[in-house]
Amino acid sequence: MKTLLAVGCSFTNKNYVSDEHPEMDCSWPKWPEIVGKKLGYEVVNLGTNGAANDNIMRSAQDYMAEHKVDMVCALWTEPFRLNIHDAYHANWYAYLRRDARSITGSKRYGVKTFHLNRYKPLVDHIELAKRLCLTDDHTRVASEELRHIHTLDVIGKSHNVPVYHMHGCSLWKNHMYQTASVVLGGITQKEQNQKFKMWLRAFVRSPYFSILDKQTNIWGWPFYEELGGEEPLGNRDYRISEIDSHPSAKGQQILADKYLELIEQNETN
Amino acid sequence: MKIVSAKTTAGITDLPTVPDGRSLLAVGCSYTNEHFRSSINPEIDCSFLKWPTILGSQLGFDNVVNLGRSGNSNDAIFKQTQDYIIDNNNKVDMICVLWTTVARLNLHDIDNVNWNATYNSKLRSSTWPGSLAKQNPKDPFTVKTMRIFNLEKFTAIVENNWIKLAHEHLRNIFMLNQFSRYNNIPIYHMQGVPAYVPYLSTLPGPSGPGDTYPDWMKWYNYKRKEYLKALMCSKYFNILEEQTNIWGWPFERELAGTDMNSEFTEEHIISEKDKHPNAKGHQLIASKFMEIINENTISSRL
Repeated sequence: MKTLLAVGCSFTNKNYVSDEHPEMDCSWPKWPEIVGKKLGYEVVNLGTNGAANDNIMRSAQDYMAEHKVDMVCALWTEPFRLNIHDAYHANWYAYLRRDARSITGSKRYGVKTFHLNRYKPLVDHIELAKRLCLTDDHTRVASEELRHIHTLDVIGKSHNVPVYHMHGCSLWKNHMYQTASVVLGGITQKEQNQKFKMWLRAFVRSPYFSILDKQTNIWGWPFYEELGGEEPLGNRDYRISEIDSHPSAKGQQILADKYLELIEQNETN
Repeated sequence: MKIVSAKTTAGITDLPTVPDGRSLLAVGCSYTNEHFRSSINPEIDCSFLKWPTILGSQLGFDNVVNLGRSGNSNDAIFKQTQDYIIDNNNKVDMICVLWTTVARLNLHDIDNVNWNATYNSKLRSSTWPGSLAKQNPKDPFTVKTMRIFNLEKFTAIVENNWIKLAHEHLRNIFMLNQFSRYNNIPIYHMQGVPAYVPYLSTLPGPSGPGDTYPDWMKWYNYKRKEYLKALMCSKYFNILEEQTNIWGWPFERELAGTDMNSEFTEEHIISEKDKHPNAKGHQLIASKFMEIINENTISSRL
């Protein structure tokens, strides 16, 4: 039987449990299992809560160094997570949002509490946000995600295995600067817009962009609506609730449908 | 021969254009940095030829692109190389990598955290007895890093997972190797700074910091054995073991390997306090790269 390797964060985790709704039964089929069933593949699901994109790429590499797989599907996550030596996933932005919520009282800064309950902050999110959002350093993160996608493509090609990509969790958007402004102060709306434009420019100018732009194995490319891209879970109905944005059963089905669409298109070509 | 190099703070996008011709790409940390200056002995002129320039000249390359940066992490070495190749498709003819210590972390491509140095610096400033206790870390890099990390927590996390560093290191070598093969570029590896540094054993153990632990040597030997075991258990060990393009493999003396630092004698280093390679040290590094390149070239002809 052929094997599908699925990598991603909590959006992919087969055993996801909602911290916000612990009473909820979340044992509905996740996208890897739906895709695997449809294709008749055995599924290896390495989705892990809080995984950074670096972890996602490296988890595939580690698995493929020892095991034969026939297809890889990656659901990429938020670019503002740090892989600390494979030992810890630092979601520093979640802490920044928590601070913004306590300052404003607004639910728009609602956080995924599972990142916050388990560990105390490791990265000083305020210092890092200052470095990233008050200077031009944020543009360096733009290329990071694209590099991860390309690297996984190279891994796939080196093993002669097709790889399919989609972006699941939140992208780096205007809200980064908005949140940073609430916590750090001093970033006007105009500056926030300018910074996001600068980010998008860096994204497009990344040497990896032009390579990925020619590929057909990425659903929703180049992800950003502003650039003509698409995110798969735009509809609120596809999420668990207003306070838990993880995909619901319907959302998981949508993700699976998009992957199947992408796989079919590529196999037909 | 044209030498194009990255200044300490410059990203690779700031590099001048490389002229046409055959190019050698050299990557690494301060052992590779074309602009290295000794912070311990600022009076010493360090403008001697670095190993990439010596090697490039010996091999007859038209250009040498030197991406060596002080404080570079292995992750950044891997990613910088990848970025350069992608940005300069078909313009690189050989890659030589001088890998560094495993105890550095790439922070979103904006910084490399040398967490051992940082931790030790903090330890000296806060808990060590005598005159050292009154000193604050003065190194601006350390001060900047300390602001971003909660060092106690960071150290606690790494301390409980530190043997993962061995696997991470080998994976970086494997992945860069895979990437260069994919791009059809020959690549050669060597370990400059020891991958495992004795500082790892000074991390707080079950009975407190290694330095003040009563059986310091016992503690050190235990930690080192753990690291070596982890290295050999990594799934990448056996893969790299079969390769011929790694000088000094598997880098650790107990496993019959070596690193450049261990090859240096007094005449190869800047001073007793600054163990960075001097002019002779750089010649030695270049000669070891030459050795492995020759071996591989001869065996490919046979």
